[in-house]
Amino acid sequence: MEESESGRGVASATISNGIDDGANGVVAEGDEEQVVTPWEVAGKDGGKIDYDKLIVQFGCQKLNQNLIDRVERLTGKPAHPFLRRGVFFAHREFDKILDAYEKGEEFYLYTGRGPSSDALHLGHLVPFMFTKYLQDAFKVPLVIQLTDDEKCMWKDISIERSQYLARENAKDIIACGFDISRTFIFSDFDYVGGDFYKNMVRIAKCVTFNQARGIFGFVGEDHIGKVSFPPVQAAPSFPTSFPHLFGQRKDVRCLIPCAIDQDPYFRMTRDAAPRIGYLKPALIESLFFPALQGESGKMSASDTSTAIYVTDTPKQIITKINRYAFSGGGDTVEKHRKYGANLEVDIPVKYLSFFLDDDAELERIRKEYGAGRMLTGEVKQRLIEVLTALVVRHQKARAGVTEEMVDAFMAVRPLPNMYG
Amino acid sequence: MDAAQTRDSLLSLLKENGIDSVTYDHPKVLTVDEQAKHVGHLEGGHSKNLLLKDKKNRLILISALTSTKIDMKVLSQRLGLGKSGLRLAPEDIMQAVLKVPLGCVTPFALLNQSARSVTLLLDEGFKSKTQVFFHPLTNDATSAISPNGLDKFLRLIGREPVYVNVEEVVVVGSEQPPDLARYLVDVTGDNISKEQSAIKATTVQGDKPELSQGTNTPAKITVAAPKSKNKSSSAEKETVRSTSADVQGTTLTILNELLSAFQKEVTAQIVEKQGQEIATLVSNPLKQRLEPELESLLMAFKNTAYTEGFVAGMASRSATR
Repeated sequence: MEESESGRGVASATISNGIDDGANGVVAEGDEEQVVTPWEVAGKDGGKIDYDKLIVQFGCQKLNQNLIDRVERLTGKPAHPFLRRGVFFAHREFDKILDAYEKGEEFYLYTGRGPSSDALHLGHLVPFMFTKYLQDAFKVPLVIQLTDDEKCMWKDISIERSQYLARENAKDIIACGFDISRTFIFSDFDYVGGDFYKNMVRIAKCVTFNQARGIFGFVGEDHIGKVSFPPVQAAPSFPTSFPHLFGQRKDVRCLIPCAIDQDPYFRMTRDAAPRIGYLKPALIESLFFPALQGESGKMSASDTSTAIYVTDTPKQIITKINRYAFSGGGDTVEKHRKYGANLEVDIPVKYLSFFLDDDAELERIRKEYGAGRMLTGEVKQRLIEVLTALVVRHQKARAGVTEEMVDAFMAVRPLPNMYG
Repeated sequence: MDAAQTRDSLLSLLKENGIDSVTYDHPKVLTVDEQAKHVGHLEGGHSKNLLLKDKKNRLILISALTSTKIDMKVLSQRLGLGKSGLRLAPEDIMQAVLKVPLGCVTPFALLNQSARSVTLLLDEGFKSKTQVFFHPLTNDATSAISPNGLDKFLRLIGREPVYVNVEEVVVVGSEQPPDLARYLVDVTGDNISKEQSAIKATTVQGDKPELSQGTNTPAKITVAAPKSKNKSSSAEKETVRSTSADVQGTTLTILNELLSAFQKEVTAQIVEKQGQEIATLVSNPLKQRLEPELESLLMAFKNTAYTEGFVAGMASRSATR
């Protein structure tokens, strides 16, 4: 029996600008349901996102321990902290990818970014860090789509500006440590055409306007550019979109690491795939990265105090964490020692669970802090160390990315060693 | 040669070796401000000199322009001594080692054998002055000497002059090893002859260009300068770009990272668990600390090498025979 792909269509009251910075998002008054679309994320009554509910809403699967163990077995190395800690928590047919890998069949990775600003924050890095781990662990090629056209349309910026942002973002992406011998980065304005466009049309023919409206919430006032965009994001799911990499092969599976708000695009893609003779892409999905102010806060590119940026100096990191990171600790030292910290809402501990590699140390911190024996200041101090190391390492790598390197990553070229 | 050197023996030494100096007599002064009353009007780099000691009783003589800000906490970290590893040396040590009275700390005091294991750090600000001023082993005079003359004097006594940016706030962390730690003369000074310590100082200094060059391994081939967003935030102030993926640089960088991480771990472990198997205790956290850094470095290296090949390939296609 075919699994239900579309789940319950997610209704969204209005489409706002890009989700990346969450600015200008308008949530309908008296919203009963939580809203998760590629352009808007809001918890019920402005609260936390209920991820279990979301899985049911969308109709994807929870990523369980069996799969994680299997990944470790197959790759021969410990699973990435994001897997172990449940940051990547949902999937569609990830098990089929593992089956294929076990049989020696080839698959490739596909992820992307909407280049809406030149400031990237840690939340933006999360999918890329995970994708890099997948690339290294499974030794597979990766295509990265920069949807400059999407941002041009949704954020109403000029084509030139969006292309510029795409290249700037590419540098930060490259700095995450992708292997140039296995990675193809492309921007829509550069690459759309040829076989890619043919796939776009094949996909578009499978989706009615009404379906698109149901999935993405388009309204009569939306311009037709927006309506015709989804096939652009869907096309990279199929190997024939990249003849320079896969020739005419249709049998190479695709795994898409992304944040869960991208699920609608790929539900649509998975519905279309069998109708055009292609394999359905698999998905592995992450939670949203919380803002410094807490789960109900939104990270906004215009308010720099809500996030740690990859351009932040060590001093700025110290200030931001100390001043803005929402603490679940007690109001006073006495209360804290007595009742412990509320780990559910504490941001420093949450951030550590993303970025502190050592499981034992994280566990110890959670235990001690939860019991009130460890103070917020100490947790924040450790977080500052961890984030500073990460950010400084990123900046170093970023400084080494030249225009020529970006050109090389983005060149339409064969990758002879992409499975080596 | 255990007797204290004097002003006269110093000035004779300078004269005999063709090092020009002019000495100004004045009443005994104990502070920089008092000294300035008498010689402050003279053009050049007036100095303040601090003798500092660390927890292992190593001594560091910091000689800087009076206008240079000295932050002990920053220096302590840059020397790899932690946040508060530096103290002013007490008077008895100053007198025993430098053989000068209070208020008279001066690089010239390194002439004394007893001072052979003192590390000297000079303010790079001295280099741009026509002359620099120090006490000639006595508080009732100030001697002017050119920076070159100072260097010559130091080499005479078997030291290689080390100039650093004293004021610079270098944030030491897992990315940025203590940049001044390499200059700390070993505490087993008894066994280190002057020549040996001079050699050690020379070698270490000689390494410096390669070490700093290697921290970035980019290939910057054409003129089109990539816009670097990290001008202010990069821990390195190096903008040296090699024109090819730098193998030696990368190797040195890797070793540098390795040793710096090892240093950190050993210090922490020794403090906590003396007597246990240090090696095994250190190697795991060491690996954890190092792996992401090295991996990032090597991936950058690989991508750079590939890019060079790519550029060459593109160029060869359009190159006319």
